[in-house]
Amino acid sequence: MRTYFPYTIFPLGDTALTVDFGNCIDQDLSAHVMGIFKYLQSHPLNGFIECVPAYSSLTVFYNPGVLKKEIRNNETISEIAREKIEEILENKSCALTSQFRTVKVPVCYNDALAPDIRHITREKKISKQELISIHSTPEYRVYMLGFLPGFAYMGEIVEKIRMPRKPTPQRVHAGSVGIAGNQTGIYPINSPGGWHIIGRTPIRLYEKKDNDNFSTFFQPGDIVQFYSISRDEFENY
Amino acid sequence: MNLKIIKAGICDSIQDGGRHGFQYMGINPGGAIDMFSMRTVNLLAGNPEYAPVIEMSFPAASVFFDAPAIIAIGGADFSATLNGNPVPSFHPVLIGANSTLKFEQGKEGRWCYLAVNGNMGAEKWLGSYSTHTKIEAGGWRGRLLKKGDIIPFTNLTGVQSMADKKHEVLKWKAVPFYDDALPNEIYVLTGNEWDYISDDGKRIFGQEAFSVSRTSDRMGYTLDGPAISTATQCELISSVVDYGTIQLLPGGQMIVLMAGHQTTGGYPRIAHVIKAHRTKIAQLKEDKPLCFRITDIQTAEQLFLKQEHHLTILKNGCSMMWSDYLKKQCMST
Repeated sequence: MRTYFPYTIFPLGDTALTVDFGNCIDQDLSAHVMGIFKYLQSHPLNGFIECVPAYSSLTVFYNPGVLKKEIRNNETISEIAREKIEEILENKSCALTSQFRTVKVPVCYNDALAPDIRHITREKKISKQELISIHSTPEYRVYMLGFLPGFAYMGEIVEKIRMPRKPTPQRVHAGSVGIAGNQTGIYPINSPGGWHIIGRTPIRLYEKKDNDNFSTFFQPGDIVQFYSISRDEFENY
Repeated sequence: MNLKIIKAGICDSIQDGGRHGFQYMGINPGGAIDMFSMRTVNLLAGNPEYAPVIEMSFPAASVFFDAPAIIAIGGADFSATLNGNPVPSFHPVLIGANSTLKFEQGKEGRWCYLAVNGNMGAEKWLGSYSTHTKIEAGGWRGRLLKKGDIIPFTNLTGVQSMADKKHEVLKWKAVPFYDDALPNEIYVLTGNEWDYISDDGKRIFGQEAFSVSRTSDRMGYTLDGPAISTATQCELISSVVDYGTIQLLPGGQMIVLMAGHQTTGGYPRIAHVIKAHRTKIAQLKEDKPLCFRITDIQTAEQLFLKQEHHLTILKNGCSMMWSDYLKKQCMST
């Protein structure tokens, strides 16, 4: 496993900085990003609002009103934030997260719940059974949550069934399993979406118990195994 | 003490300073789209600046107060009336019981804020009263306000009640904040994918006028105007975006992400509206062309700090005026 990951830091406007490890999907890199994320969650920096991990980057939001108190010389607030982040990246050993859970996710690939499945099988000249097998055989990694509450970005989809995003988003039902490029993901709620829908899971992707309790089914780093279920099993799940 | 929505607006919700710390789960911060106006009306009404308010677009709700209240409205100018009489924006207003607040005409701007002194009986979810309509949590039952909603607010202390259906506009007011930018000029910082745009695209971005399209909402403002062409094909892995991030869609159209934006996106981030100009772009209507001007981080930060300073002065001023007002009342009784 690699231990050093080259990075660049770029501003995301005037109130956030993104640490970018390259525009790529890589499991070691993801573990590294999660390691830094966990470190920053347990050691919050003064003036920092929150940090958000993504596939190969981590974005830190800061409060310029708080950080301005640390201005020395002609530094900008953005530079102060950058120095603080660099210090952590260079000096702190943010342990790579290595323990990941495996979660099994039932998916019903029935045409009625998979509006785009026929289009893909025609386009890719494969049978529906092949498509199901290609989608449900590999183990996927949850790289990040984003877009919607509890939406997990998973990778990587086998080359053979990769599809670009739809040109215009369409209405997508909660639980829909979509694919786009080398990613797959599940819509937690009804939403417009641009991914191709190939099935639906009966699983609830988040729980809102009370006003301070919210949990998501997926966690970044999870190893996901899909398995095919029938329409009956879906309805009675 | 309640306020009752007697006519629904088209997109009215309870908002506050936003929900921070949960973007890693995909929960966006939300909050008022024009935070500057929201903070201003709260301070005028004698509230903490990030207290929950009612955010309205036009046509806006009509609101009935069954008890005396102190309110402030501001942001967009929707020609507000109390019991049929015009009331100005950005003043504290004392109102008597059984008063009706209406908004007659969408004159200027997109989002108007109503602050009511005291605590609004709204739902706090994950540390914020902002309405998250997708999860149906926070604010008022996690949804837009509807006709018939009755929102309680707490008792006022120290201010003499106005007579029924009367109101008094207090003399002091918040002055607008101006900077060196032209009224239609939006300052931006270039984004990480700026160089994905062609030279011609960069010229168009910096010189042409754009306008906010009709399909815009709290999530994002799509811009009408000439298309921005790219220099290179780019397929990006999704990463984090923010309020103010300008994404370039495949057809060359730009979308400015607003307060209700998603946490992540995969389109090129060509620029970011500076924080100090969020209030300005938030209030632009379809008929108001806008121009982008690329600035630097120093300028962006200076403008932000100036705006914060402006609000600090207002905060100190309001707390002084309110304590004076209450003292005078004590003496006269």
